[in-house]
Amino acid sequence: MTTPVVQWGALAPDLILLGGAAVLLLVAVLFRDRTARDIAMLVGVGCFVGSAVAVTVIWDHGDGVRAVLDGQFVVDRFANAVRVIVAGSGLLTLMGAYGWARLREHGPEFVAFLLVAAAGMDLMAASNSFVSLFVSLETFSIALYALCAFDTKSSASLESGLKYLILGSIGSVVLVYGAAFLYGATGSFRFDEIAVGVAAEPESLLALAGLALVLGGLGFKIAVVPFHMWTPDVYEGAPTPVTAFMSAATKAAAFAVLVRVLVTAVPAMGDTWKPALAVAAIVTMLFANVVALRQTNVKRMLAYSSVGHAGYLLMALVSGQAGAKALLFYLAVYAATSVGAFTVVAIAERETGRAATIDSLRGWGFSRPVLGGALAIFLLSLAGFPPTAGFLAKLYLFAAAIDAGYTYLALVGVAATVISLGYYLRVGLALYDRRHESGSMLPSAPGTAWAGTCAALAAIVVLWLGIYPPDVLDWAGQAAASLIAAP
Amino acid sequence: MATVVWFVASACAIASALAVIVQRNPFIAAIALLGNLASLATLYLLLQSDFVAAAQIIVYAGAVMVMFLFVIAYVGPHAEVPDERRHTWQLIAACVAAGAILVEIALAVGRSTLDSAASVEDSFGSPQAVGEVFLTRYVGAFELVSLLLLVAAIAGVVLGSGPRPSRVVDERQRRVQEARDLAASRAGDDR
Repeated sequence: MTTPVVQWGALAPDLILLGGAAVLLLVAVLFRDRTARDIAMLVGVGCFVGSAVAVTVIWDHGDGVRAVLDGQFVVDRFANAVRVIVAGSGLLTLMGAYGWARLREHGPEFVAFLLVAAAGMDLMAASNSFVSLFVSLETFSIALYALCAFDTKSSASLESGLKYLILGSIGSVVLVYGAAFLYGATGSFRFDEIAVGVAAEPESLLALAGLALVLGGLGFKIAVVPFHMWTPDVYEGAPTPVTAFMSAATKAAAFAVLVRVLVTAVPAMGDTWKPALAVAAIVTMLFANVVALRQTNVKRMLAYSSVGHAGYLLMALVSGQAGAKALLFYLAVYAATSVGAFTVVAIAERETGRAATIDSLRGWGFSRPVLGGALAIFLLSLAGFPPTAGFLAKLYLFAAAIDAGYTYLALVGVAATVISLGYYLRVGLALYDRRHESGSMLPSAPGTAWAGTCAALAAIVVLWLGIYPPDVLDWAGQAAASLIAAP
Repeated sequence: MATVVWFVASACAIASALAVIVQRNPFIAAIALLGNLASLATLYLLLQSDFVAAAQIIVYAGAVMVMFLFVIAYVGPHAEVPDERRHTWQLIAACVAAGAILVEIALAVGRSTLDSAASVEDSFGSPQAVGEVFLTRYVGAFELVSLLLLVAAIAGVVLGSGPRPSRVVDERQRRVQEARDLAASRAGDDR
């Protein structure tokens, strides 16, 4: 029996997060109340920043690709790019969550769950076998189930956690079933070995059944129609900071691993999965955006918007290397936009003490200029208006799809974008509704300063990526190239 | 001999699985699940996976099922009134989807070339072989699972317990206690 070799350097960004979580469990025992929360926040912010810094250190190691732990994980630039997106989402989420009352009771545990979830997502994005994929997926899922139900006094939060637990488990079971079929067809769990087996026998029905089930299982996590049923309820019921983190980071990690499975394990079956994903993209884009038009609760509306964005992102999966590059850029933009938008919604909820609806936000932009302005920027970015980053992200995505010969997908995407204007602008107009401009201001909620900083930072990122994107585009291009060898 | 055992165990597995979902009495459903787990363990034994079979019996049949039965006994078998409304279209859709998956899997397994039996060494499936794979090839996943269980345990504690006693609450409780003491002493004076 040989001792396994552990590539500590390549795993450092995740180990920093897990180490921080371990420290926080001690903090939870040793300190109480606000002290515990403030220490937890410091540790959490330090870990997310440390994780991102570690990524920049190892970015060029081994020409950007390293097999880790006997090939069970592959730490390449693609995985590292996802780590940065996850760490950034976590950082913004922490800042936005600071004033949340529940953190005074269980602050260290909240941050610890967040760190473990982030580490699980990082590891899933770097998974190179179905064993590590499943275990890392469950690691972050368990942490997220707990986070969704974290507000134990709110029945909506508990319901959200339970729904996510049950439906997420079904998704996991379907995924494992599919992995078992792929194992039966090829004799391996490792993506590179599955690719060899599938290429030898591309018509294998066993592999086809396995792929279909794996796509279904991962479809739950990325929330594409028809596996999106849980999303509106869970996003609406979960505490808003958790919703912010889920919408940004889970999406990034799940799409990353889906791309990895498709292009490294089953590229030989591209003729099968590309049309299937194209159909799913069309249905998701149209369905989610049309249903979102009818929502009045802003969180629920943003949940349907998140499903719609998953539809746009599916377009990237069928578009090859240019698609992978556009995917990463889109995920980075969407993470900043989504965390920012949910954070502002959380502040609005905390101020009024009830769920944020379009009516409750009327005229709010006048009394809270920074937060209102930031929310307007996020809405424009989600809708895809220049000069926000959402415009460029959609542009690259549609261009990649057209280059790959999927012009009809791009056309449906444009149509869906036009539909989506209907609800994004409705919120934006309500924010600056002159008729409801009231001179009196509600007292600001606790943590508004931190959440405002978070929203301002996210808005700056959104504008920066929209006006000067070359740096990040180059970074996304390198990451995509490390995953997919150029033809 | 092995073929006979296989047929019996498979028939038991399917029958008990059906019983789990058909039975309305949760106690009987739990017992049926126990039978299902035991049949599966037999199938694992036929596949030369002694360790997995033993773990299945000890962990699921032993620990998990006892907890299920304990909870059922605690809550009572009729605590939950079943939803009598019939969601016909949902039922039809579920049956169609389940049937589609069954056909898909039957086709996939039936048409594939799974006729050549794999040759495994005698040590296959032994605790030693399982442990070796855990600590070499799958060491990352193995360590991650321990973390997963830790997170699940902490989640249970955080969600199950109320707020941790904080100084604010202590202060309030102290005042309430003082007020009670005062009231009690006054009541004593009146008497």
